[in-house]
Amino acid sequence: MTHRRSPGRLRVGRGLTVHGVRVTGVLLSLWRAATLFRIITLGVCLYLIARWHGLYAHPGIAYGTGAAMIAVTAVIGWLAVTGRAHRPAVVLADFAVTVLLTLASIPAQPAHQRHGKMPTLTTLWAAGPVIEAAFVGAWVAGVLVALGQFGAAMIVRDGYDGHTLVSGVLLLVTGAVVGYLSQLVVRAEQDLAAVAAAQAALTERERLTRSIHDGVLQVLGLVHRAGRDADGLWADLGTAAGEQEAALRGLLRSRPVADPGLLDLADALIAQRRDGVTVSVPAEPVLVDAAVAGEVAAAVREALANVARHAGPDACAWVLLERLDDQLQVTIRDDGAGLAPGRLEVAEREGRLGVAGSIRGRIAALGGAATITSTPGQGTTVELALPVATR
Amino acid sequence: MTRVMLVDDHPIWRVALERELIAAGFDVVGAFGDGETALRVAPAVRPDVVLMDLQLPGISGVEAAAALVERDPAVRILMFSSSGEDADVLAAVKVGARGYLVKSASTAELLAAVGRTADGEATFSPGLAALVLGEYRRIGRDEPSATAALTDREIEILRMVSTGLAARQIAERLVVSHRTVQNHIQNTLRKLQLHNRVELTRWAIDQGLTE
Repeated sequence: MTHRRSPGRLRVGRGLTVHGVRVTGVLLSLWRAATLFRIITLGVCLYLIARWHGLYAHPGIAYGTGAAMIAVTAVIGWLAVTGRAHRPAVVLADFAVTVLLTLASIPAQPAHQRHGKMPTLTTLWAAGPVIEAAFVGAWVAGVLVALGQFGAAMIVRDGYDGHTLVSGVLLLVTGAVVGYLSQLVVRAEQDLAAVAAAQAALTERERLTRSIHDGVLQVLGLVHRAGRDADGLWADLGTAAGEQEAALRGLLRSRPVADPGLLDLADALIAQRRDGVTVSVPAEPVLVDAAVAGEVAAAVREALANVARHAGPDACAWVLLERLDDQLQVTIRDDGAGLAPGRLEVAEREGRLGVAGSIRGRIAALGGAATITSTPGQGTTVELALPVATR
Repeated sequence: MTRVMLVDDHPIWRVALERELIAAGFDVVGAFGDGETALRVAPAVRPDVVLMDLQLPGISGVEAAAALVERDPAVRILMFSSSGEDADVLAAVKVGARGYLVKSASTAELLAAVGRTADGEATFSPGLAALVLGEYRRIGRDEPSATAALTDREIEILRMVSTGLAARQIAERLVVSHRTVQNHIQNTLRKLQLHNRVELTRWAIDQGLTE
């Protein structure tokens, strides 16, 4: 986006990007306020010059200074409105010119008046660069530029008196406070913009979810269902539709978890749903350490793979996730062929640990226990119990 | 003949379900695409069973179910939805729906579930059993003084339903009658509905909504 002539009212997230630097909405408004301050103080200075024209040692220099102030105000104002005044070079140039114009009071004003009550030619107008520097470089820049202006005023006054000191302190406070506040405002605006972006992403996600739910998922669901009563290709199509439906639902269901170290174990298990595998979970997310969730999901995957290998072609499996007071319980049951009594124990004694050993190992490493029970003809049940502090 | 009312906003589903129900001998007294129409027509057609989709345009399936039960506590509502709307399923049974069936269930499962619901039995899918189990455990954690708690037998039965056992198989394993298993299952729903009512009343008192 190039510069725009009339930046709108103060709006979050709006701003101009000029030469790679983004000027946000709030800063633009601040700059315009600073420009207004410059114009008003310019009016005051011009009034004073006109009023005291007879008292100057060199009225020409005073008039010339006034004209220069008009020119500087116009240029800075134009740059501010078009969003280019925030560049450090502009602020430095403004500061330098303002100091020079302040020093022009030395030849313009007679010595006794300079050391007396007559203010410098630039007086309040000289506070402009302090405010601008505070916008650009926070309180540090504000204070440094204020010190510079204070120094220039001291040179004009030939040492400080009470008057100069009060003006100088006010200038320093202005630089510090404006710098601090503008930094705060810009940060707050950035935070607000981040929140608004997150909100927008969430809204968009909800819109997509609704749309997918109302359209694609309904058709997939119906195809899946119709496929159950059909044979051949139609049955395969139905199964494929069911798998896609489950996968899409898993995607839509998964909620972003705020803590990156945590995972919703319910989501991880639901991802393993397919034809013949029913996964049942509580309504609330079951947040656990991401590594723990990965291990438990892997153990469940192994158990399901084992069902597919050994339980028979028509066997179904059910996975149940429960969150008890101090432990997680995952039950994997199938209605397949089951194991002959003692077969598992014999296998373990002979060192053929296989899947059972692998599942037990994973769960034991997490401080839990896996129990495998089986009855021939009635399927196998694997129970995983983990002492996990869920959050 | 069992009078069935169908509420589903998807015409393809509505047509398919209506055809299957009629073919199986049910009297489909209405098939509507939104909860508002269903609520308006229900008093006139007096359905025995309402088969209701959870996600509806306008008022949600849960709100429609709550309004129907409010008007006629005897109405038997079978919620019907795709999986993945867990919180909604739980909300529906808390306001008085008699059961839940996933949309991917086969025609035979659907017809059996509608028949069971008409007979006053609860239709529990493994998913619903897990949700109810989870809800009791949440209540136990969050509200230690809560009125809703399951007996050990009820927990045992819900866990069996959650892992895919049918009421008949559970009765065999526990050596009890099918009727007893059904009673236990219905009790878990009834207590949850009661807890929900108590919660609502307490909330209303807290909000100063009652005198």
